[in-house]
Amino acid sequence: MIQTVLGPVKEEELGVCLPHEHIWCDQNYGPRMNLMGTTRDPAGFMKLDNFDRVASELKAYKAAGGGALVEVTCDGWGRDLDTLARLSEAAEVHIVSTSGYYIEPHIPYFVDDWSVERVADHITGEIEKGVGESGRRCGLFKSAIHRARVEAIELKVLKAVAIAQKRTGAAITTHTTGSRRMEVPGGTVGVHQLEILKGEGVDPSRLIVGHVDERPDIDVLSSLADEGCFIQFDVIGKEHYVLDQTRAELVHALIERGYVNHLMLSHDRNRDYEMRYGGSTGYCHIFETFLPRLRQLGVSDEQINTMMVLNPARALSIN
Amino acid sequence: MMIRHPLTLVIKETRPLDIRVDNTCLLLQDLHSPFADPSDGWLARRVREKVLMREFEDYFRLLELITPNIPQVLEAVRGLGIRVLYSCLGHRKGESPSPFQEATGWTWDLDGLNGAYPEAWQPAQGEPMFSKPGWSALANPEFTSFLADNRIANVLVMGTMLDFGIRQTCIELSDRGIGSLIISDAAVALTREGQDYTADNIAHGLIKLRYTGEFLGLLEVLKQEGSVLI
Repeated sequence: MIQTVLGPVKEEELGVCLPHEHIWCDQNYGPRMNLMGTTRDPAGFMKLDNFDRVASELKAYKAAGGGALVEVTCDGWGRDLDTLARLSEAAEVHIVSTSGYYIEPHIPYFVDDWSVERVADHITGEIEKGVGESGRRCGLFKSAIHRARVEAIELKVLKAVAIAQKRTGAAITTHTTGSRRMEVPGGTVGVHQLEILKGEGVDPSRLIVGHVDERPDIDVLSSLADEGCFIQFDVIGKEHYVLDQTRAELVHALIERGYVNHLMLSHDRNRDYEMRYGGSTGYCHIFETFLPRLRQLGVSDEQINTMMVLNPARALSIN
Repeated sequence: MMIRHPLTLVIKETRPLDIRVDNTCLLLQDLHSPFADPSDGWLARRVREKVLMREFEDYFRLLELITPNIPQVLEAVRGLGIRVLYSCLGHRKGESPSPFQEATGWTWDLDGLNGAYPEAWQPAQGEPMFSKPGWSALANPEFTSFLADNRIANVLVMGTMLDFGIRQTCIELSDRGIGSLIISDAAVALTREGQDYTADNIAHGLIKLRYTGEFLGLLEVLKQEGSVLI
């Protein structure tokens, strides 16, 4: 069973799924935005808040063959499950919402005051009972690392997520931007998240290591897959990190190494200018430009189906 | 225009900085009046005289944004007993303007009005001010001697001309095995694009950056534990 904002759906009903996207968010709500620096232009923060425009993007995705999206905006910067439910109905796509927390600037202040166990209780409730008065349930957890190391309040959240994961069985999806600070021994925050989660007793096969294509290292990715994790290329289209052609070649090489059952693909869309109405490709970029690259390299339709349908369904399945 | 940093894909990691009171200093670079006084400094006056205000709009806006952060950092650093140094373009009494200064026309006498600092970050008694012949603070041998004599392993940096002077200083420090950390919202480039590009570029060149909010949190750890690994 997969928990969407409109209720549970069977794994085989999910269809093509983008496992790391934003649909409704506003980074300006972050309670500690001073930690993002005072020289940043707030106009550049992540924000999607126009219902009709977002609905049109989702409809285009549906028309292109999409079936589902994981909305990874957490409590602290505009998560709104009722709006997601209305969008899901309007566009006829499944939407899975996310519990847990984003990076430190967006973590609500109550997390400071609560114990790890109390935070775990709270987010367990978001999976098992629902969020606030909406009663709508989240379908997975998120843990995010912005700092150069896994420490302080971001570590607290990771530990709470570990407890909640073991109780519910829901997957953990991760944000690993800390890797880009070039300060992490071994080069990726994902490795450290995995070590901590394993230490807390989490099954690595329930971990989706995100943003691996911001600074990909094929040996690190192979070792994460060997541990059983999902490795998620989820900033496809953001070529200031890595060229899409490089991503395609890495995905192909990982498939050649036998890791197709661990790979997932997504865009992490979160700003107007990334959308079709903003002149870009929106949630259809993978369909329109990335899958052709993979096919040209010899990736089969069956392998694409594994990465875009079967793997997300397995990752999101809550037993 | 898309800016990529492929070098990062083959670099291992940034060496951690072991920050202690006795091995670290705070450098305020080019925060003297010519660059940092938005009303009566040399740059502000020249820009107005030449009708170039629009070209420097980003700079003075960014300067305004970093202005509250500088005294916050300064107060916290001084409170911990970390040494504070000033380095600024210009020449002291008895020094001749450098070829760079002659070329740019920035032949500022630091013992005169051009050596003044805004009230909020005036040097305190005993805090040295080094003249800077060119972009890098290390172009003054007295500055490099000071670092060596005091066994400075880490330099915390804030100031103006991030995209030229601060960048150059940090790269030269790195070449000498001295770590540097830029307080990135207490440093200002000439344009917003320059600010983002330079910060990103420097980070990928293995120099550390932290925002003021993050940095003050790290100083709290230093205060409690005697050292902090960044």
